Amino acid sequence: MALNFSHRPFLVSPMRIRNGYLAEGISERPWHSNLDEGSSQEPVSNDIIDLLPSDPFGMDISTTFTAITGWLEDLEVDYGCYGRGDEAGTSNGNYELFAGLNFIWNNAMRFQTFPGSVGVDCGSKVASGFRGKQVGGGGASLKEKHVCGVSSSHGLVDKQGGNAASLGDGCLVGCSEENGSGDEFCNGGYDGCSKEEENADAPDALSCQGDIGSASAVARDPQPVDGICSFGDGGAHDGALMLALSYLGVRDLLVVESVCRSLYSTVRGDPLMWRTIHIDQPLNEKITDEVLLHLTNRAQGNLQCLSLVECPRITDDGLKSVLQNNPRLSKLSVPGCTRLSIEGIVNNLKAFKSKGAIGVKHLRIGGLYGVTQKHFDELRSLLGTDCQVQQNARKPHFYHRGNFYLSCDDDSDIDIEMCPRCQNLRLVYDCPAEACQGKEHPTQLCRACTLCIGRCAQCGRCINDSEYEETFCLELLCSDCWKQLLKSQEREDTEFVPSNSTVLHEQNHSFSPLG
Amino acid sequence: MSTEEDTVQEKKTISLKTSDDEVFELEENVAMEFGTVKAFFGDDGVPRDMMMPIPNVHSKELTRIIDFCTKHLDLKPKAELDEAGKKELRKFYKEYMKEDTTERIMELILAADYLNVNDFLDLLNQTVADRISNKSVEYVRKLFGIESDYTPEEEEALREQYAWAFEGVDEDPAED
Repeated sequence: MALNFSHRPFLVSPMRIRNGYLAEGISERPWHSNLDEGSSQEPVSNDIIDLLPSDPFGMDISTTFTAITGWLEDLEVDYGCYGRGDEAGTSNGNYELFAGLNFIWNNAMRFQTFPGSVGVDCGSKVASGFRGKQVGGGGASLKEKHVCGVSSSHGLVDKQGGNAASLGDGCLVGCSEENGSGDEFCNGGYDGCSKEEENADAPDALSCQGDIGSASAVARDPQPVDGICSFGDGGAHDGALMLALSYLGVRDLLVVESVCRSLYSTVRGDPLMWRTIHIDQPLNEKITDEVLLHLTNRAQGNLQCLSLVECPRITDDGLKSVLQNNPRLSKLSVPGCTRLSIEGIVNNLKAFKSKGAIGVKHLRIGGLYGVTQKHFDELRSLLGTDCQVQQNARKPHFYHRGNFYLSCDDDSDIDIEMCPRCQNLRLVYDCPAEACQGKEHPTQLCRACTLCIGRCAQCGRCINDSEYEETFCLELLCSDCWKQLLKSQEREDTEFVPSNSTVLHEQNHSFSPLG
Repeated sequence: MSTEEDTVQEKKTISLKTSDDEVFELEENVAMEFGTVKAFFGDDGVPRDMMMPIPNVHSKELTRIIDFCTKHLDLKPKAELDEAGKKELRKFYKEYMKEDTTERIMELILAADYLNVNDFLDLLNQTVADRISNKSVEYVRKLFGIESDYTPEEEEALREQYAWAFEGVDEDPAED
């Protein structure tokens, strides 16, 4: 990515020097202005650049370079706003172009021209959005949509971003310049503002006109049409649906919110529904600090269990804010969240406890690296459990897809422990293989972290000595599971898969059996 | 084991009277799966031969609940024994609610909630959740027969607000 272009103008490629001789034509390089213009039969200089052939592969480099330069210069114009704040500071224009380039490459799928200016000007617009579905999901820097959400309890959101009071808890706004101060401005704004590009002229996205705010709480117009379930008359569905809603994950709750106004206020307004927040595939890659804060705030301080599985965008600060707002949190699970540091976790938990909260009692930090014994002991004391008891009561933990991490349901205080082989503090797995059962002596136990004992991602058996395959996703599979995989792939190709969401979900997600 | 009171039947039964005045007699162990019934009769106190009114439950629902509890009681101990039993129980869960409409399930949820039949309630709620899961907003509306009361602009706003979370939503299945 380090295109080493410079701002030295070179309208024509400097490599017009062929075989050490200046090509006919003009020497464009000012530093060589003392050299002959026109063709000269003598070698121009001893500079290696001069000696190298100009276009060894006949690619007509000059045109290409010009094109590239032009393109980059265009970029600079279009996306120069990203460097706006730094203009004084940057020594040269490289920064802006790199920023633009970085931006393009990170958002390659979404590159499109925009009608208006690209940067979001917070002063004039609160929200804007993309049309259509996002493409290429999953990239770490996938840009966020940030649309003004409607808040049921507050008034309408003004198109003018400055109306902080009315944004309240419903607003999900990303502000390009105000990233840091996002909190007071938009409680729950999206991250990634510097990466955004959106239709600057999508005011409809706002559309917080209309009486959502006032009406949502009581939007119970009875629908006399047959077959229409009316929430207004407190029909059977109301109570029953409420019960079922608590079985839904975060993503589905968001769907339900969009169904109708009364469901919106029900889902949003019920703190019980947000007492346990579990973020897993596919939301894990997208959730940011702001969104997390927004979601956890719905619990109105009653958040008890927060589970963030492999959420690479959550930072220590983000977690800190969540902890500050939810003193009743007792279970925290953040396995595989790569931006979290062990120091951050320890500090956050210390601060959390010192504020008088009962404190977190169950912690999951599998996948975090660099945990030292000191950290571990501190965490243990913060969690406040009796060490010996916990170790003995541990259930066997097997390694397979969907079960890499210890769940919140498990009663252990902390998921990591000292690996019997390497003595590092990591997730330790037991072995389901029959040959590894019933070993008496601790040193014989097939029990260690995955670095010490490789395991099949499907069944969890140790594979150190036996045959195994490495899949495309760099998982290891023992030969039995590998054969099974091949067989089931063949079957899938030939069978029709009914559109049952559960079935599809399982099959797409993994081939491992449930549970 | 046989007591003085049980002169007529060998197994104790409990009588329940539904909202439509139908009386059901069920075996005690099945009836005790209903938390409400269990609480009603308690350990002692209320005599078991007293008929318990359940005015919030229609006979249609009760029939189904009894059916579930009977089958469930049968399968549960087997599931605790071995893997095959667990598999059978899982299969039972998967298949039991397949044929029911969502409407029916909602009614059952209310009945099961009233009677406090935890296992069945769990299954029912999970079934509904599975039917909603990963579907589009429109689909959910159709499923419950709810009409949107949002203005088109509001809808658009919501759609965009949550678009980040909605990638990869299943295609709505074909209409029945």
